[in-house]
Amino acid sequence: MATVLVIDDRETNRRVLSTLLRHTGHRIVEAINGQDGLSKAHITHPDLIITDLLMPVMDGFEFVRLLRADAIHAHVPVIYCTATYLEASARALADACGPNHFLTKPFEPSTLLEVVESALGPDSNRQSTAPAPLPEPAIHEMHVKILQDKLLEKVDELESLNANLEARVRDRTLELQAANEKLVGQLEERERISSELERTRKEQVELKDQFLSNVSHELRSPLMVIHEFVSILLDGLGGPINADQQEYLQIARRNTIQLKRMIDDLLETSRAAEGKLFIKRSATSPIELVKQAIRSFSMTAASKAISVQADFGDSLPDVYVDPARIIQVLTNLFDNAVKFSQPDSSIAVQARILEEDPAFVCISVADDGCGINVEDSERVFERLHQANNTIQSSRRGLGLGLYICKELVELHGGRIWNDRARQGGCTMQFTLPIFALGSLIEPIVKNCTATDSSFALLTVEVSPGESCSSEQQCARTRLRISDTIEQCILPDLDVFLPPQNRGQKSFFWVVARTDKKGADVMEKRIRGQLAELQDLKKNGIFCDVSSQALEIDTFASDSTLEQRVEVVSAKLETMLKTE
Amino acid sequence: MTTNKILIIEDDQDVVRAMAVRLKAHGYDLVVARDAISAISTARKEKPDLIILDLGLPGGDGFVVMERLRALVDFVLVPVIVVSARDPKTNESRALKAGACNFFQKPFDSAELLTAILNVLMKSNVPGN
Repeated sequence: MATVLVIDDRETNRRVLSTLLRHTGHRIVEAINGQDGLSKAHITHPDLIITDLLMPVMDGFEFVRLLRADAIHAHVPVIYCTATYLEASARALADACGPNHFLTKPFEPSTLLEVVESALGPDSNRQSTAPAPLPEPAIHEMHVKILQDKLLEKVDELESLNANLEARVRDRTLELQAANEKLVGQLEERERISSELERTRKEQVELKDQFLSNVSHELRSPLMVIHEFVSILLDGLGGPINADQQEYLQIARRNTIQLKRMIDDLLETSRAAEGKLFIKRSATSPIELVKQAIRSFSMTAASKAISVQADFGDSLPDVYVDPARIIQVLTNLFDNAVKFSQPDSSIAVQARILEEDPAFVCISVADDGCGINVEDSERVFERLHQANNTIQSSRRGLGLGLYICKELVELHGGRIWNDRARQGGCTMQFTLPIFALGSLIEPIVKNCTATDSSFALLTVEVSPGESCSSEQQCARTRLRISDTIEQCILPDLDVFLPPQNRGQKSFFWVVARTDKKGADVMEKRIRGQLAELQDLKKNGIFCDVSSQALEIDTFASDSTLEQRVEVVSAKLETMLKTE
Repeated sequence: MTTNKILIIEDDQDVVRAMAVRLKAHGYDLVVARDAISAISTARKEKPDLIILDLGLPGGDGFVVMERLRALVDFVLVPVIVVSARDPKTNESRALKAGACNFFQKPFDSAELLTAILNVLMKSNVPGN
């Protein structure tokens, strides 16, 4: 039995060695590093030492060198067990440190046992194989060199690992960049496709509106021919017709009129979609508007024996609207009221100041018809929406009427809604802004200073000639005069007030932020432009252009905009009244 | 009083026919041109007292016809009434600026057209005759 000292910093390695050797009947002492090994060697005097080389605190070579310093241990055989120090220099050092064997990790158990047995062989053998130990400094030098070489080798290894790592990082970076570029490409492609889609959609909407506009224009010509010939027959220009024929022709004509209205609606809708609905506002009596709409509608109402009851209460102020457009709204509402009413019922029309906001007049049209469902009451104003409960009416129409009403009312700054407060029937209400001089002139009063407060009023008084052929002709002429004046003013500095008709005469007014001198220049320009309008002379229409300065003392420096507007409009109102 | 002669420049035969029935019933003499090119030559040959002009014509736009007519010495003052299916919002002022007396959108009220014709002729006949 021999005592074997096993030195290894790893417990597993120590256990494997111990187990194998204990089995062969040797006594085993374990140590965890060179230093531990030294102290254990001194106590136990081992017959054989098996040591690892690379260990913390003290490595295998250092351990053997110090071990040999003690004469007792000078000839103890050492088995170096290593996976790292395989070079010839390491062998040389081991040899220099006395009797030794090398075991390369990993090893077979049988190999270990063979090496152990050979190392423990007879003493004589041990002595003979043992080379003469080298002097101490030489061993130390060899040890340092080996460590240095190992260090350099490890440094090389690290460097190559590092280089390898860098290469891999580079490769991966390139891969990532490529993937990233691909993604960016895909994103751009997607964006391109979606903007392309959006463009196509817009084009299609435009195309559709253009188509709608073209179609309605094209429909007009044949419709006109039908309407004309039916009228010609009705007027007896094609020979005498009997009562039945007359009735049938009247039905035909009524339907062509309806068709014309639908075409107009289509056109209005495409205009609204293109943002091309324009209004020309003037100060207009709301009562006159309603009366006019009722007048033009009386025939249709009478055909179903429906009476129209109007209630205007006391007098109402003028509203600031395009009269033709508001009559269009009213006609549409009347149309619906009649469509959904039973024969012999009545339609009630009301006009009053809006309680919630006295700057608006509210007009309502109420019928006793089938009414509108709760869920439909908002949607009826949508383009192409039609209520589902459309009663026995076989004519559903285009579903554009209320949409156009809404667009027109909102263009005027009002709103339209279905009033559900009343039970039974349907009540449509809409608001129109009351005409206010103040709100018109506010923009030009806003940018004047306390001292610079000169304003002038230009008046164009139009007297009709003897032979203003028809109301339509007169209206056209007025329109042309109004256009001409508009071309002579600067929108930032001047305000074109809505024209007014007083008896036979028409008045056009411009409020200009200028003094008397500037007003004279404007007066001259307007007079010159009007003189160039040929049909004024032709129709014997006379235009008198005059100007006067507003006598306003400088504004109080601390006056508010509202107060200034108040001052100017009060002045204007007296001047307009005395005109 | 002599019978007034009206030139209808219109490519749609049915529209021409409808106008013709009305105008003849009111005692007017009619001549018709169906395209922009024959419009000028017909006008020169027939010397109408009034012209009813459509805007969409084969061979040239109605505005071009009006321009050409106005350039002819005999036609500086001959009244032109435009009757078109086009949108009055953009075409009416243009037509009036180009020298038309009236603009009617199709379908028009024939009574209104007749009144306009009567008025225009009365005015232009006064200084001429």
